Amino acid sequence: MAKRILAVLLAAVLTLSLAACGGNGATSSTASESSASETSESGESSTEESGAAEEDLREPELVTLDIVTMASGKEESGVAQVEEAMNAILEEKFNVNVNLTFLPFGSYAEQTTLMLSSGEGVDLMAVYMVPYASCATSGQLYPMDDLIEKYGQGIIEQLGWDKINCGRVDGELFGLTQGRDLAASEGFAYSLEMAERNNLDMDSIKTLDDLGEALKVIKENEENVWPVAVSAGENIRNWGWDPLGDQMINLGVLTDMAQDTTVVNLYESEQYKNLATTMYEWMQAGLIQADAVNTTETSSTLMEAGTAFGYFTNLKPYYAEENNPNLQNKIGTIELVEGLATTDRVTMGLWSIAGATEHPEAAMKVLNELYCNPEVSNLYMYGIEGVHYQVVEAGAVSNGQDVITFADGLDATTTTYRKSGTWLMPNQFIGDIWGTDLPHDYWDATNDFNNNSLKSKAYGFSFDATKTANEITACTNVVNKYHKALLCGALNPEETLPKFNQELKDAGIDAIITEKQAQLDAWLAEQA
Amino acid sequence: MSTKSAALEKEMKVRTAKPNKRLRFYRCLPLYLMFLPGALYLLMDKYIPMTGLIIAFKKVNWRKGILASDWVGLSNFTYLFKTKDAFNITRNTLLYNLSFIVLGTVIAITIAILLNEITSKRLKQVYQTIILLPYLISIVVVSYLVFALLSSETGFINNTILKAFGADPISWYTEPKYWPFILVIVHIWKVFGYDCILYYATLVGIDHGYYEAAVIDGANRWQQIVHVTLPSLLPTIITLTLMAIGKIFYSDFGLFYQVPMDSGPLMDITSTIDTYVYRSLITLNDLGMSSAAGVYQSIVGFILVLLANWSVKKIGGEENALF
Repeated sequence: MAKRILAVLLAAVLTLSLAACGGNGATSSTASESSASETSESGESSTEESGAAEEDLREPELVTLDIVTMASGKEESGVAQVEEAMNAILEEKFNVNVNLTFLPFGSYAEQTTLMLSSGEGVDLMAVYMVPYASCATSGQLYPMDDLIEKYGQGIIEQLGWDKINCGRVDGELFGLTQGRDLAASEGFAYSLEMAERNNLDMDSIKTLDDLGEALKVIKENEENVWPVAVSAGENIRNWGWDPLGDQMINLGVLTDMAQDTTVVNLYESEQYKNLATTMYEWMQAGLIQADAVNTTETSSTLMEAGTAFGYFTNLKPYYAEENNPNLQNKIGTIELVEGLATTDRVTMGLWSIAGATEHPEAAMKVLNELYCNPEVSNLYMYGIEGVHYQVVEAGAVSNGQDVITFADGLDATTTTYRKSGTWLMPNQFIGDIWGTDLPHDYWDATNDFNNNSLKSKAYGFSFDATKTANEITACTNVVNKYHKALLCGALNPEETLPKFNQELKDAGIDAIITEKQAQLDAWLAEQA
Repeated sequence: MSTKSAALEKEMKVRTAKPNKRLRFYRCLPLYLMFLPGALYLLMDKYIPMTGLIIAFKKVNWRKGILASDWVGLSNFTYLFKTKDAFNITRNTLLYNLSFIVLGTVIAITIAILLNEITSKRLKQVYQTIILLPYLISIVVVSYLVFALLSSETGFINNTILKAFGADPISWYTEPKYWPFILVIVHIWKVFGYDCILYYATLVGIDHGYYEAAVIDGANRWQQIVHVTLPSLLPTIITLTLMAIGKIFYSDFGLFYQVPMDSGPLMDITSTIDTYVYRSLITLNDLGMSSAAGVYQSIVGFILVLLANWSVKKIGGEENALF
């Protein structure tokens, strides 16, 4: 009997495995569309048909929009509540419901690419870490010029044409930058407590070498702590160069704070070599997380777990103060490269309407609302008052909004709607300020930082990549092999850089640089 | 008489031919019906998507739709041949699959024969199950099992084995030279159990009379294996190998994408055509270019299958060829 059962089981196993080998179950889970969109019923909409005729902003039928942005990867139960609250406002005004999707940093590029190329699960989204220009030219994004004139006057008022125009591809507008920090200084964020425990005077650190000395102290004194943690295989994204286009691949850049207008190959520059060499030495000395290249975690996870001392990041005024309310392990920051304003900082995250959307007009109306209506913006960024946050100082912020913090009894780990990734949301500048550490004129200070930072000589220039598309594709494949790993310190630059650059040459980087230089020169002549 | 009978025969043929044809159809109807779902699946899954080949020759614009997008000739293909990418991924796909076929077959047969030599029924069942288990594990889980071995921080090999021998730890995920071996080992560990069961099933079916005769003739165990077991296995070996050759230009996506953990420095060695197509789509977000790589795969794959079949026909005769 037992034998027979075993035989049946084995047969079942065999057929199952036969069926299983048909599909490869390995592709990363596509677009984790958040739960059904029909969360809030449209009870009122049918009774209010007469009202719809009067108000011309209302959609004739209830429209549900999928809105995608980045946040912590945690499942959050508060999202449904926030959707409901946003729907209450948007349904009355536009007869629109929203379905919010939040994707984690580690898989954001991959998942949004799949969403855009399948056209599913997204109407409105933050385009971030994916090649924006190629999305635009391949029709994955919806042209906005007419829509913004019609429904986006508020956005124009908020951003101004200067910044809006940075999002043009071949003269057409496909994406809008946000109200956020548009320049960046580069530096290091570290655990305050750990620095204190080891008597490190972090404020005196001015260079990478100084930092290296401090990291060595941590390495010696702290057990099971990585002095430098890495996010999803990326250690340093920029160190004071203007990428003149895609900041993830840096093909043809202005190096050394971008004050010279000669386009060069970043990977041949002294600046890059020095940086990669330092990282390699650090890795050899055990200062950088050993599995940096493979990690899919973000550095903040390690920081919170107390297993990392710090991480490289781009900085803005009050970076630490802004993040600390969400952290168990409070951080401090040191600036190592001064602030630089480049076009790609403005266009690194853009809000776009998906090319496949059926409701572009509704999407623009909602977008306008997100840029201009503090109530909707605050809901999206921080959740619901009294549930997720409470007001500490009403109306104290210089824009008339409130200073807020976690609702009673909640903290960063227990809240059901975590404030994270708000910098990527459409317009922080009209909203509340989170936490009492920040000054009341925080948004003004950020704006000043945007305006007063050192400007790249190519600030405002955007590269038209269509002529060199093939070279860029080939070079991108090469850069993906080496660049992140080099800056993680996982490869020896002495051996790797010559190979890397040879492959780039074969792939046609010189053609890209020549073309970029020509376009930049033409642009500069226009400006003069 | 003879003419009469011939005429009769002819008439019989004419009379029976018609109903025979219809009868055959009715008699075979269940078979046709059984064939139908499979054929529909084949049509939907394999033939209809083939129309997507045109994407490789277009600059896809989603707002115009695929059909209305502009034709761009072969320009989507140029990036493949600008670098050594086309060569690399072709070489990788072919060499990996070739070693999988050769080593996989040898190991599966060896284990099947060993399994056959075990006399305890219970032990036999235990071994069978253990051998088959890796086949049933998801490749994502496998990739983390490998990571548990190779990780620089916590990996078993660096922290236990190499340490015990006093050797320096190796940064496995940035050193391409080890990966051909790692991938072959992982793949064979994962799938040999399945082939092994197929061979074992054939072994069980071999008539015991042959072995008895061999023993009477004074054959020892080894001679029995060489002269009775292996020749009996030959048809199964040929069929399985030919089927594998037919798929030689397709790679196990999970193995090559998940197990190296998407590590950039390894890509020259671990990229196969399938992962390359996927990666192009993800990082370049260009449907035309990734389709171009897909078309390249189809064309070279098609040629290879024809070649393999042709050479089998030449060497092994018509009856062994696939078509």
